[in-house]
Amino acid sequence: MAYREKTAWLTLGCMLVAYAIYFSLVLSGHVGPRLLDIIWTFGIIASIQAILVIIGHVVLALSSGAEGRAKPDERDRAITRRGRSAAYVVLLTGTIVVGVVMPFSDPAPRIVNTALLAIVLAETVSYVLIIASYRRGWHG
Amino acid sequence: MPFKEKIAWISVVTTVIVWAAYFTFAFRTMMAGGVPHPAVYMAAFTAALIVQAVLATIAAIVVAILAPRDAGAAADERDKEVARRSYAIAYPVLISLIVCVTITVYFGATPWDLVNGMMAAIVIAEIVHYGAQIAGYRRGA
Repeated sequence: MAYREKTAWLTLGCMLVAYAIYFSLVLSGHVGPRLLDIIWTFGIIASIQAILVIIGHVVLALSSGAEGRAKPDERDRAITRRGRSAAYVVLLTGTIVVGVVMPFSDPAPRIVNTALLAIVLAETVSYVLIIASYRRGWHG
Repeated sequence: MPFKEKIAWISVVTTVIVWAAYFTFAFRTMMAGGVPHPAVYMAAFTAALIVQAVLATIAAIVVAILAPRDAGAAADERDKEVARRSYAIAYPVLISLIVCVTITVYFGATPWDLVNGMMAAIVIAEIVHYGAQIAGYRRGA
């Protein structure tokens, strides 16, 4: 498995676990309705996720030798752009739902958390597409 | 000029013209201290969406009639790469703007402020997207 694919798996795994925990807390009513409550809970979970991803990247880079130190090549960059272009469309759809539909029907905490969910979904689509591109040998 | 670049120009110009008119209306209304009936805002908002779609469609048809062979051709590798690159540039812009606009809901933003803020975020991201597409073709990416 290519080093970049491993890092994509790592990032996706950490992200899914972290935000599954966050949104479970939100749904079970453990996150208060104030902006500070949301920032506090989300900030802690996102920070732990970031630390785990950084540690994982370091471990993967050390265990991958020269491949881990190499800069992304043209194919890696094309695959990343492919993931982001799909994520943009997902995020655009989420933005329309959050920004045009919800302001008239939903309270502030639900609007903020749905916006966060849209971002997480977009990032998930991006990493799934990156992994699928490596798996299927996509060359751009 | 490639057909896709012409379409990008049409999209960016119609986006800027139509949404500048809409946001001028929204801003003047806000500055005047008046809060129009939601139906007025909704009518202006819907009109902006329709006018932009109509303008972009008419311009695209005219361009396609002038260069039918280019218009009928499928997107080649370069077109696809330019499109992906432009989306990849606009994506973090949209994320940042969404976060900024969403948080305003806790600082007294009304539903219409949120709608306008989100539409502004989409418009800015789309301008960045089409701008990056044009730049990609200009640089011969």
